[in-house]
Amino acid sequence: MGITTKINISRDLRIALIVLAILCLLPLGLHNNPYVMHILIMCFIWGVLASSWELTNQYAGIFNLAQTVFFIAGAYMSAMMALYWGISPWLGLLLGGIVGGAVGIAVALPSLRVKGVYTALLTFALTLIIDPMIRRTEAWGTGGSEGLHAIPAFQLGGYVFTPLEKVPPYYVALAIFSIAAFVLYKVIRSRVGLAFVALRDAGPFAKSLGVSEFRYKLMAFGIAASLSGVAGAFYAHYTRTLSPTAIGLDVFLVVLLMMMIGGGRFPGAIIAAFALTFANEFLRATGTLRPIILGAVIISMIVLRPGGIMGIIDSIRYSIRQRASRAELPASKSSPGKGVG
Amino acid sequence: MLEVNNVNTFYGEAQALHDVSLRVDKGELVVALGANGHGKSTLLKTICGLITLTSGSIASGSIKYKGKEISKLPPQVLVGMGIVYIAEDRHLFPYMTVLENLKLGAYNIRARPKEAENLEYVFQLFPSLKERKNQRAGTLSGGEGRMLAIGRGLMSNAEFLAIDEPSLGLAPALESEVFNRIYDINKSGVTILLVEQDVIKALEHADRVYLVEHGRIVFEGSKEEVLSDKHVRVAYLGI
Amino acid sequence: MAQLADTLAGGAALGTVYALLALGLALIYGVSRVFNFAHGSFFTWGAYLAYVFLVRLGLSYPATFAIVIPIMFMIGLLVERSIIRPLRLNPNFVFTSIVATLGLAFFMDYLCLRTFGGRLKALPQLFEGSVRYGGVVMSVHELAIAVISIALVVALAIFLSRSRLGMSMRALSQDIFGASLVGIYAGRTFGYTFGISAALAGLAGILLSPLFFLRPLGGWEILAKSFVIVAFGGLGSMQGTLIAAIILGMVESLITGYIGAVWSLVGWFVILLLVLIIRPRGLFGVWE
Repeated sequence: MGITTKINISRDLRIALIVLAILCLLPLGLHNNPYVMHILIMCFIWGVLASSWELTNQYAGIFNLAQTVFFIAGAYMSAMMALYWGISPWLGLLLGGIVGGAVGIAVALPSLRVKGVYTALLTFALTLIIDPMIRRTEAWGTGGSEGLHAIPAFQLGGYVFTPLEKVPPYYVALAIFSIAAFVLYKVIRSRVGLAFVALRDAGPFAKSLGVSEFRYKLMAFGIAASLSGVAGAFYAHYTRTLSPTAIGLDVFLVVLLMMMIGGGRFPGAIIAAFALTFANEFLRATGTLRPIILGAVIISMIVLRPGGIMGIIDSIRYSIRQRASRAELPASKSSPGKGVG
Repeated sequence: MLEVNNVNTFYGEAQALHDVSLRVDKGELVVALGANGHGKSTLLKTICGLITLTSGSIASGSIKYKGKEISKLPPQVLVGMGIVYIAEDRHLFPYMTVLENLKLGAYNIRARPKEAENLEYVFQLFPSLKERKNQRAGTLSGGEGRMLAIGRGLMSNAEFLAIDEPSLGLAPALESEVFNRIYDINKSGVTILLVEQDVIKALEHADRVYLVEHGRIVFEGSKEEVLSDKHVRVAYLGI
Repeated sequence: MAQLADTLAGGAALGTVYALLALGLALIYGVSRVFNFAHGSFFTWGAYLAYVFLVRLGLSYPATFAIVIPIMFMIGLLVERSIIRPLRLNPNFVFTSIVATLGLAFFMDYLCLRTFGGRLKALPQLFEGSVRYGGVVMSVHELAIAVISIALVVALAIFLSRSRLGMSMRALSQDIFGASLVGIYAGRTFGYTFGISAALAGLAGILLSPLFFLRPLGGWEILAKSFVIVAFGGLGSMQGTLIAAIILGMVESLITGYIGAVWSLVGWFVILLLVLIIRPRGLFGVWE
């Protein structure tokens, strides 16, 4: 077990570095195409949100349906701080992370004490109630239904990020995305991640060894919520407007789909985030048909391919391996059956 | 009546039954003995179509009831054919009354026309159930619960009862009563395959005996043959 | 003071219809262990279907009921067979069923939006006019829906305790393995349960839409309220659900009448929090 993990780590590292290199170099070819650059930036943002959601739901096994709330919390907090108190957006990113994490822990405490379905309901209720709450709290500076506009953009030295020049925000988003992916990867490969797998696959045994389910789940919630909060803060200062409609149930549905389609293993959700963000853009032309199609896709994916994208990747890898081994030993039988299982 | 031929049952990758064959003739009371965890329960569940419900599977072999192949049929169909499983865990409906539990026993279509008649018979057999007919099943004692489970099985118009460890958790006096009732049921024409840990009580009325060890049948014979074979007695039955 | 009594009466009537909704949700969860996130969407669809027959086609209310309720039952049955049943093979059933019904809810809601547009619609009342009894004034519609709902709750209770299907549903909710032992086909029963729940939700939609405007996305509130009622009343007790529903209906009317309609949803959320913190089992909870 130890040896294979090591090999996997260096293989994973190689893949990650290659992908990172590609992503760093993309702007060289794309800097004249702000539309595609924008989509990629959104891919990074949703990627962070979807993969941190993957941590809580697929790894830690929590029926959490409130991930977008942490995103919104980070976004609004950073925006409001910048608008009313002149706090720098860079600091806002940090604030978004802290606020997101705090809200995450606050939500986790009651939610983890109740059983599975109830957790889903409690967190979903929160998601539902955020929208009307934002709309009614204009007096507290949330901008109500109108939303917040002209949110201060990022500044580097004297240079202020403009909506036309996509290259600087691209690299900021890429940095956030890379750091988040790294953190999540580390958590999953660490003792915490192993604890989750142990709790999931052999709960009572793991607990008897002293694995504290509550503490680890709380940690997962905190980390995932913080990362989502940072993503939210970035979103606020990048798009420079926030409103309950822009980040409402629509976003919830799409990111949920990303998390589910991912297939439950890192980096499934990230791949799904990229795929769906692009797909979503194409579907934008269909107007009100879009949520209908998304709903149908969610249902189909979960019924037909519960293994998600990672499941599909696994079956591709498996059949490649099968073909390779058959090519090596043409005379041997295929692997013995396991009975009718 | 019941023929089990070379059946292999698996729970995932673990094999629970190895090449098991047995038969039960009409009207017989056959007992399968063995220690815990050796597959007695699995054997009964396999026969009654309950294996897939417990995440298991039958890899090979055949099970014939009255000549018809039943190994691939779901438990509900088997109940309709008169094959009823009485679980050691009883699986009663705790918030329903004794009467409701019994009525539900007659759920399948074949049993419905005989419901009143069977109810009469069950109350005759187990007078304490009649006394408690409006009591919630969840509040019954161990022995009464066991009797209700058997009674509910009878309500399904059972021709073949597969009883799983009827004596489990019962005081000796109650055990005797339950076994006597089982014998009465057998005398009235119901074929019974019974698995047990308590050797002495079970052997009392048995026609034939099988010994199960590690998922295999290691001995088959009549009651006398079992008791007269010293080797078997000492090694497997400890008497 | 008179106004208070009127508000409470109206709230109680509202509560009886909420009871139907809550019972439908509880039924599916108790019998087949599925939490149907699309419950509110069934409510909405029932109302919109009624709109088509009642307003667009000009049929009478009895005819509309006779057509829409069976359609809703069929839809529920279909959903269970095609979406939920395949998921049972998956060990993550609890989670996948939640996501599947969530996806279904979005699908159904936005289909409504696309078909009927976003503008609020109104269904006509069952009966016009108002009635006065002992100083309390209620609209005849409110009275009618209360009568219908209570009658249905009673019918449901009798169905569950006497009929074979009803008893098999109760059996499944208490011991699934035991149910198989007596020959109950779980799959079929799950389907009928879903159908009944969908029909109840659709009916509730028809009864309530004359009071509130009909919006395609209003289903989420209905789902939330149904859940709060079930949590408050306690799972497994029909009387508990009915009482909880009536109480919460009255609370909602009070909040809407005296504080403001916008705060009613917040009120529900607060009640949910209190229940989960103070007495998770609910008032009359029998299990879980």
